[in-house]
Amino acid sequence: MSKPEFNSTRPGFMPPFILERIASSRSDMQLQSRAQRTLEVDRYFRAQRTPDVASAMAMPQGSPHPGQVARYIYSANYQEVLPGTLVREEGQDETGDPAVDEAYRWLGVTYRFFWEAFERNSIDNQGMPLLGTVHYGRDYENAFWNGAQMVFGDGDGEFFNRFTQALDVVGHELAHGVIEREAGLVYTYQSGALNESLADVFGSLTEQYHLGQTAAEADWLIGAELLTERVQGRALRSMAAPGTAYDDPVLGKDPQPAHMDAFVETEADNGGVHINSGIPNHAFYLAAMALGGYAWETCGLVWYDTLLDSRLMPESDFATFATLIVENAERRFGSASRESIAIREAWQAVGVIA
Amino acid sequence: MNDKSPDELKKAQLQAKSVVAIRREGGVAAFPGLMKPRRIHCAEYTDEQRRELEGVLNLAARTCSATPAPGADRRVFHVHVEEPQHPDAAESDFCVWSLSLNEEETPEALIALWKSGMPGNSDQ
Repeated sequence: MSKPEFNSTRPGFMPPFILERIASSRSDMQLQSRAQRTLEVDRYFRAQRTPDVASAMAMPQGSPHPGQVARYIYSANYQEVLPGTLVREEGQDETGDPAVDEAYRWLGVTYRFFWEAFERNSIDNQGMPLLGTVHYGRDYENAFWNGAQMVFGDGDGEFFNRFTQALDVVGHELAHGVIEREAGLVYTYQSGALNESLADVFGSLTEQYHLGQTAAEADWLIGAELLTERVQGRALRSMAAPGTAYDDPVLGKDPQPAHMDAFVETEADNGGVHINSGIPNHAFYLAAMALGGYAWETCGLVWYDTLLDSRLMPESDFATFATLIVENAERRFGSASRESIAIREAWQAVGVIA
Repeated sequence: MNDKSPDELKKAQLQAKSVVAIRREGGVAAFPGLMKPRRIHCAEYTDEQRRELEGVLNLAARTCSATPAPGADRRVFHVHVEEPQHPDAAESDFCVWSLSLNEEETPEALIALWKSGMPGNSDQ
């Protein structure tokens, strides 16, 4: 197979959305210069990167006892390889590398939250080791769960900070593993939005638990630490006010709806999984605020019960999920309890159930 | 990711009127501004350059998998080749070829095109 060749100069990172902004921003000479360099066409193309699949690796030892976390932090050394080089494992001292030590710390905090709030022993409830890779890629502005481990980029420094900085985002990624193991919610359309919402709920609860915050004290933001000062925005998402987290010339406007009236029909984003998750996110927020106190002791228990409910199917939609939530609230707290009433009213308020 | 196997996917064939749109989606949040496509207007380039671009697209078609990557918050590249249905058509362009690729299996050449745009003059 012959290698395609184009005339180019450097493989710099300057995607379309940034170029558009820079072209209209004559005040930032440094960025204009970078844009100009990158607009010079690339000379170097590699034929193809080798896919890296963590599932091919042997899993290290898991938790020796329920309640004891087993963490393994790797560095991808700025390449897109998984899991990378092991740089810190359970019990070892801090490395001095902020990304490594943040990943280690926040994975431990998330494990502790699931254990102390729900008596869940790691992702699979059987002590699965927690694997996190940091320094993934160059200027990589994302974090993800790949079915076997969590992966964190360093951000580009211009719009996104290091992704390990945000406890709720680390919790969000670990929660994806829990959701996958328990409900297997298909990652498209409404079931995918439920998958995303549950990850936000447990990520946010992890942070609230760690900080000892009541519902009224919490910020209900997801990833508040991730956006740089350059960005006109507060976070990736707001559970309190979906659609208001950011409104920026480069990133665009937060597209999340808070009510079914504004449900977004789209093929993009796997059918809007990070968009329409604003609706169930807001239902959780409304219920938690109505009840007050620590959200993980009220709504959190009910949401977790529902995640484990065998009637929650991989392709369940919002209405099915809300119905199960209400039933689990009634089973845990009683049908006439203030918890059941508040939770039902929250789902009604976002237009999912009548 | 794609309904057809790599063998079944027809090869991309670019004409002067073709426009190649490369879009990246996904990640831990859906930022509308980050999903804007890179649009490459083939009319601006030579036949030789278009053949090279075809090579990149067909390499991507051969290497893409049929299923989405496992997990969550993964990123995906979508490639569309658009052509006007009629020379004087007022309608929007018509998609004649498309491909979706998991980020980790996307050829670096395609990512570079998304980042930096079309190659320069062929006489360099």
